[in-house]
Amino acid sequence: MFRNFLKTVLRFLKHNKIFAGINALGLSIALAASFIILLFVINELSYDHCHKNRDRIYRVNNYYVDFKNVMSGTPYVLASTLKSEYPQIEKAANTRFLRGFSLKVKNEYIGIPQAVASTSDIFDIFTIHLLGSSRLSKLLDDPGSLVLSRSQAEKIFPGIDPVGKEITGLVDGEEHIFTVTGVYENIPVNSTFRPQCFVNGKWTLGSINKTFKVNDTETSWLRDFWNTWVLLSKEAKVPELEKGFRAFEKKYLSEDPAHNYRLQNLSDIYLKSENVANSGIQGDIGKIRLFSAIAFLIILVAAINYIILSTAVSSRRAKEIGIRKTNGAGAGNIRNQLLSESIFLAVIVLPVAMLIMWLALPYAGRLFQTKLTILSSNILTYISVYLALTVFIGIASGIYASYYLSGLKVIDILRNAIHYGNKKQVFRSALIILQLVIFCSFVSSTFIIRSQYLYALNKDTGYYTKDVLFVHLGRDFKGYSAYINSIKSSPDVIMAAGMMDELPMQGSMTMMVPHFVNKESKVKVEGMAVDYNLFKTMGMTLVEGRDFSEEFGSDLTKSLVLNETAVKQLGIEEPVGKGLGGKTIIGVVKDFNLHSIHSDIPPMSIDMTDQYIEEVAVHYKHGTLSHLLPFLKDEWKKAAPDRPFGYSTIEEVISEIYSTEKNLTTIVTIFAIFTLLIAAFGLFGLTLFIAKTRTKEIGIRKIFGCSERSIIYSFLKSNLILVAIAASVSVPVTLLFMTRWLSHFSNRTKIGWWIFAVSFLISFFVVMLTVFFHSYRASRINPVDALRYE
Amino acid sequence: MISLRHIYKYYDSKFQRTFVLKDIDLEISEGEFVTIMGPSGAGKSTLLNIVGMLDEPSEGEYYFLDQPVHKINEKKKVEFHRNYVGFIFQAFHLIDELTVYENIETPLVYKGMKVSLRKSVVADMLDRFNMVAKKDLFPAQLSGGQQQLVAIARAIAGKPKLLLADEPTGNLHSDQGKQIMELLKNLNNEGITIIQVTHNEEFAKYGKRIIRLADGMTSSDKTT
Ligand SMILES: Nc1ncnc2c1ncn2[C@@H]1O[C@H](COP(=O)(O)OP(=O)(O)OP(=O)(O)O)[C@@H](O)[C@H]1O
Ligand SMILES: [Mg+2]
Repeated sequence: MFRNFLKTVLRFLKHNKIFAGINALGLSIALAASFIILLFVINELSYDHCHKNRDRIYRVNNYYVDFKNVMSGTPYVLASTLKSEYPQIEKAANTRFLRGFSLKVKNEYIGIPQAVASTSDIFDIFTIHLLGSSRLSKLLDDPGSLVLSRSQAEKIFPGIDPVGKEITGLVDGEEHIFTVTGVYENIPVNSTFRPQCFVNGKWTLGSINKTFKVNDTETSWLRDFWNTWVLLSKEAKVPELEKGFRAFEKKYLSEDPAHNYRLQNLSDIYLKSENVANSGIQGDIGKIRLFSAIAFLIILVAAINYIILSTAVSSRRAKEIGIRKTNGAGAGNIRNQLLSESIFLAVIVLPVAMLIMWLALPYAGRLFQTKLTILSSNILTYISVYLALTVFIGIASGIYASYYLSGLKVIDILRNAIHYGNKKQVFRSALIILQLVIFCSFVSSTFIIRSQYLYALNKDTGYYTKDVLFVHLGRDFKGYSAYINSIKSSPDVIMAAGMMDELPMQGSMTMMVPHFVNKESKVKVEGMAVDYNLFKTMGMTLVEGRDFSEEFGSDLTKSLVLNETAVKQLGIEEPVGKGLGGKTIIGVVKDFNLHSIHSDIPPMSIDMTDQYIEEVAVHYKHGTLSHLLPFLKDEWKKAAPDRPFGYSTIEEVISEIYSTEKNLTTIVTIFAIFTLLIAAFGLFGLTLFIAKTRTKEIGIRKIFGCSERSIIYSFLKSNLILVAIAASVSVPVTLLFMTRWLSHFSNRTKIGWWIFAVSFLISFFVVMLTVFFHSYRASRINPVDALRYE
Repeated sequence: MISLRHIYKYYDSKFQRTFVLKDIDLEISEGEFVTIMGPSGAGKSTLLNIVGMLDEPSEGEYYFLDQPVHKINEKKKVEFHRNYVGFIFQAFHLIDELTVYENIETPLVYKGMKVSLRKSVVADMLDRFNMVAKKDLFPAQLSGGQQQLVAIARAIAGKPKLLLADEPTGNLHSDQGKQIMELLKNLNNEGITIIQVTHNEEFAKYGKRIIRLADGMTSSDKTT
């Protein structure tokens, strides 16, 4: 029976190539777009699925009660102590990146990125497939153990089995002999834990001991520089275990510990760590939600097209259905026929959609700012999701046409009395309006996101946003004052000063400061460390007191400056001269935007430092940048011959900070174009059909003296009404979503009404263009031909 | 086989009720060849459609093979269409996208006939109607008479007990019309009950019984 259907469909399509083409193209573009989005979504959601025990793998985080923030850093001893205290904890391991670890190959050191120092338990916690002659256990027990990933092993020991081989490694600048105890299959890219090699955990102790000038790091509970991973037993109950940690903290930390240990499941680490500091690579659940919503809308538009087009052709299919019914087909047969047709058409399009997707993937990757890779471990998921989606579209869009057509009475079809009247027209118009609403909302949203972006770029930040650049010093750059003095000699440089980080700043340093009046409550204050003259260089103004100055020798250690918000929130009257945390307040600086303008200006306490200066801010005379750069570079070569010269202009820093909004604009614009394109395809097909079915009517009208212009006008008018309704409906829809989006920001752009006018005009223009072609053709019909054709 | 009792068909418009059929009583037994005649708008097609279970009477009782059609559900009607009734219409009504062969095959597909049996039935029909050479052509490639032949072949391929023909010769030249009527006569001789509607007095005579309708009522019912 299906063959009989299939022939009808295929031949019908052959005779209606434009209809079939439009339908297929619209659908395949929509599918390709949503496939790309789904590829991204599936990849993001598949993180850490490669670890078989992920339900039982937890990271122990440090929750700071006062600051209400979570750090992933824990002490070295935590892992082994937990394992010995709790029987539910089957395995425990600490990990820390061993920075600067390199291996000597042919008398040359090769840096090994992502080298992790840990213990043997790590191989039982995570799913790491050991290869060949690797040792089966105790891989890291010896201090000289070295376990390599397959790619590193192939690079360092090409063509031979590295297990048992010795190699010289460099840790903290000292040579040591390592012995390879194992090789493991490369860990998939969709794993948050992805070391390139493992060494014994002890190697990380030295640098911490050195930095803090201590020798007890191995047993200390104060140095939170390790991640602690545990594998719980199948019976373990997390809340119970976490409750038990309170006593554990009392026993090992202090009577009143400042932080609590908490467990975070491995499955939550990639997407639910936005509050965890130093969590490692992270996904963005908001982005996943947004993209899924966009994919859904695109598919909706395509499915609507399909419904509109298939009901439009239904007038031509009605006869076939009438005949089939008189030949013994029941309503069920007809329904199945139409539904399988619709699914079949969708599935036919699948390869085309895959091809488009494959071609578009690299561009989409750039757009999403992520690598859109096809992961072999996810292939089964992709295929089933894509197939399910395609079949679903087939069903969803076929269901209306099939119920409508199978319900037609043979007698009505025979009498040619099917009412293509009001009800169906209204339904079809409603669908077109829905498509246009989606499009108009996309367009207006694009404009709103863009205007928020421009607003952010142009908002007064409280410091210069032009003619400033930052020279990157890097860590521990001792001779920075000499460099600053040497560049100040240039006539192009107005002022230069050292600082901790570029402005606007991405990271933050917080402390809890007691309120001045109400001593019980504490205020979260952000810190910033600067050099002399920074306020002057950046154009910040002091509202009270004085700037840091060399004339007062004690400023480096004894003075601090607050911002206006800090003075207000801490409840300080007459702040200048008052003490705070062992230092004296010497001045109050006018509020400026420490971070992006999207967040509130925090209370700030600014001190001086000569240890953590990593950037030099340079305020230069307008228009002298190209002239100045070679000079800055030359001076750099003199001051730091062994460090590369690097800088960013403040414009670059600012646009980097708002790059999310900028990208979002591009992405939403592109999808707006997609929806319009797909909707235009549908409209094109629909007008084609309406024009065809109205051939006779138009012929008769022309005989009675109707002008060509009024025929075109009648086509355009009905569509103008649709666009107008859609544009109006899109206003509240857009407002609803965009005010919610804007509410995340403390400083917001105003939504201008012109935005909605523009989106109306764009859709009006496109719709008119689409419709005009056919209406013009229809208006040129020769009445004699039209009637003869009937 | 067919028994119509007090059949009324009317349409309600805003203020009035228009009667198309008024109190029709009709008995047709198996093997009859009935011709229905009457002026345009008399209700001939309506009556035929009611008999064919495509339309429903507004009032009255209808028994088909002793089953009360006015009480049975849609599914049962589809059963009847599948197994007992064949239709021929004035405008041929072939499926444009299917070839001659496939058009004839269609009712057999819905009947659920096995492929091998279907093949032999269709081949039989093609042979009988001298259409073997044309089996792969589409309706648009046939003449009007040929199209009507295919429509008849399709209507009888499923071996219906009852064949309903609404002006089967309406669009044809008289030669072609005559050929079709001869065919119907032969089919009737083979035992198929036939009810036809025609305006042509000559073709009407092929029927063994002529019923005349006027204004929705039987004005005469003669067996020749
Ligand atoms: N849906 C309807 N609503 C109102 N009146 C209808 C409807 N369908 C048919 N009629 C009326 O029923 C009457 C009979 O129609 P029918 O098609 O049975 O006539 P007919 O005898 O077959 O005529 P013809 O010889 O021209 O085919 C006509 O007057 C027609 O106007
Ligand atoms: Mg009629």
